[in-house]
Amino acid sequence: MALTGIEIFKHLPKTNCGKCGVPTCLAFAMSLAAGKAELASCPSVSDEAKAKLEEASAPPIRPISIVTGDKPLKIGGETVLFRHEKRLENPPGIAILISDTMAETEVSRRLQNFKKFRYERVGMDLRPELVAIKYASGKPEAFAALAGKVKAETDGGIILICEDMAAMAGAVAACAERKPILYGVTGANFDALTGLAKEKGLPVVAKGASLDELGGLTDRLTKLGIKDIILDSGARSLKQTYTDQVSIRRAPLLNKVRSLGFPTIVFPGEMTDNPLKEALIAATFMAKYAGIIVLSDFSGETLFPLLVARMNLFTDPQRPLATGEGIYEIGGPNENSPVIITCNFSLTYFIVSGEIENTRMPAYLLIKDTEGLSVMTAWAAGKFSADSIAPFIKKCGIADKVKHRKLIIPGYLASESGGLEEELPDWEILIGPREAAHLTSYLKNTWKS
Amino acid sequence: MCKTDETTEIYYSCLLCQSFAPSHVCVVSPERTGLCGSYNWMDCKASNEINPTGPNQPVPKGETIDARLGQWKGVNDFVFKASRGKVDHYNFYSIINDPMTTCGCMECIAAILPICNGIMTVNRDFMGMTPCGMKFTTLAGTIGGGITTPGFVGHSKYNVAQRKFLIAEGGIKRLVAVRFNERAKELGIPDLMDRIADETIGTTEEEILPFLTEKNHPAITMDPLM
Ligand code: SF4
Ligand code: SF4
Repeated sequence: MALTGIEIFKHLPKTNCGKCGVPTCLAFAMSLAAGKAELASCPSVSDEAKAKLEEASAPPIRPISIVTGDKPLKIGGETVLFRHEKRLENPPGIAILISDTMAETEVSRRLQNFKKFRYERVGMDLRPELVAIKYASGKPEAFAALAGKVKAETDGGIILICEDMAAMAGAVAACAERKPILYGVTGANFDALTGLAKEKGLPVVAKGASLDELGGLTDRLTKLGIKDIILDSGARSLKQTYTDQVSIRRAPLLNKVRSLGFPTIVFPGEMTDNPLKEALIAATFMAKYAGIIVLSDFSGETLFPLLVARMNLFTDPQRPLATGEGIYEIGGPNENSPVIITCNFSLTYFIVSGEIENTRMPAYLLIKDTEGLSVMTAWAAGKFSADSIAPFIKKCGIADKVKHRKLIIPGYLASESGGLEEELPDWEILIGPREAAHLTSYLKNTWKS
Repeated sequence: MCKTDETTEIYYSCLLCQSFAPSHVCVVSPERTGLCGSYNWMDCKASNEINPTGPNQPVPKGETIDARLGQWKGVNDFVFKASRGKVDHYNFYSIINDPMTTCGCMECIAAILPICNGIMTVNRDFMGMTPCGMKFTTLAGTIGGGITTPGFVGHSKYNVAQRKFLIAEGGIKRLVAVRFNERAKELGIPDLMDRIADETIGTTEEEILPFLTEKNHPAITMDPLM
């Protein structure tokens, strides 16, 4: 990183006006230094300061926001080579491929799968985000019609893969509001395609046969004012693509090569015909730096593990996964159902809620915000003790949902039961098992409302 | 008792936090406890005697590079090796000039407040906004992970009361905003404490500046921080 937060701060207006989205110039300077913000967010920097800071503060890998029918997909903006150094910022977008020579039923099946394969885990929405549309029919109307259909029927971001400029222009017109990604700019079609991209403000994929050629292309693009660039190194073997991906990540981060500081796109489907291998290759590039991964088709048994792998890679290793505070109803509880409380460490939540499901006894599970810490850790840190649990019980509204006043606490919190009885005089405090695995026998043997 | 940094030749390292902040190295001296608050110089020495190959290794401080900032050649060499080449030097007593690396488990984070010409510190139990514009969690995310971040440093609560706390910038005379209430009173400088703002005075620099001026806080008239 060229400048530290403090050095950047010296050039900012020091008014703490908050227009940049954070409350102080210092906080903004720190985000700039970390490559997480853009100088343009501060409306008041002087031109002189701008010139000084622009170069130093631009994120090494440009963050790009891709329009979808849902919330925008952010890619790029990475600041490290390895997750443990800080964190990986933006998960790669996953695209399904369709082409205008596919039978109508096949296209529908794929778009259905695109909509169908969504999963919720740890309060996160796991889903594919993009549809890549390939021009192969030689009929511009067919291509445009397909682009229009994808826009109308899905909320996916769109990638248009097309060499023919007339066909491209038609398809862009058919899905213009979705701001499709144009694939791709080469030395040969440079003027025509950049003209279209500039006119409509669209992101482009730059495609070169080597990294040098790619760097040359992005330099020309940035000079034209096109900055939303995605890179395709042209490689279609696992080995070469892997090498290129690593080089493209290292160059801007370690050697400040701005011309390669953009997210990338990969096509595992063009590296193998075997769907299982394709999924494995996709997983490889999930870890190794792809910004967009285009899959030749979706199937639940390969897409789901990929989505989970992506979630796991892109969580912040410095922050424990946490579940939202609140009342979780398991199995349709009623006013006589048991009330059980635990911490909001995600793993605890999953294990405890799973065990409650296994008992087949409907119950209310109260999740108290412990900043993602486990029961014992939170207790040791003073975040899961009687004086913080009691106010939560009072305000969460559980008293309106059940007739009884019995609260089951984790066995490890036994020492808090006295304190809780004092703070919650209406409630009887029951000490549950220490291990979630013993919940079934505990509830079966002891629970009476 | 009363060992001082000057009269001690051997400091101790602590590498426990490398499990999640691989380039972080704590070097603990008699007047600077580990930033988690759990390890002082004596603890490290004891730990080393119990387990000579453990995370606490003796660090001969060697030649003094800068006495005011707190930089020694032996310490630098050790840090360079222990961080596997990621960090080649740091200063014990400064927040502005290449402060010590920060892992993730610091008890408090000190940050400069440029408008007030002073330094604030916030402990990990304070969840609200602080005058520097970042909450503890944001600060921790920005400066943690084993990097040196000029203007910010993690430290233990006890460290505030130690003689060398940020002494290169003027020590606790620079403290303009403190976020640990009871602890602050234990510091034994009642008059200074009254002049330091806490969250009841304000949570932005603009709010606390008039207070500091009215109370004639020493930082207002000290040499500019930057
Ligand atoms: S918008 Fe500019 S002047 Fe305002 S707080 Fe942000 S950085 Fe400071
Ligand atoms: S913060 Fe504490 S545990 Fe971590 S390395 Fe420093 S002294 Fe050791």
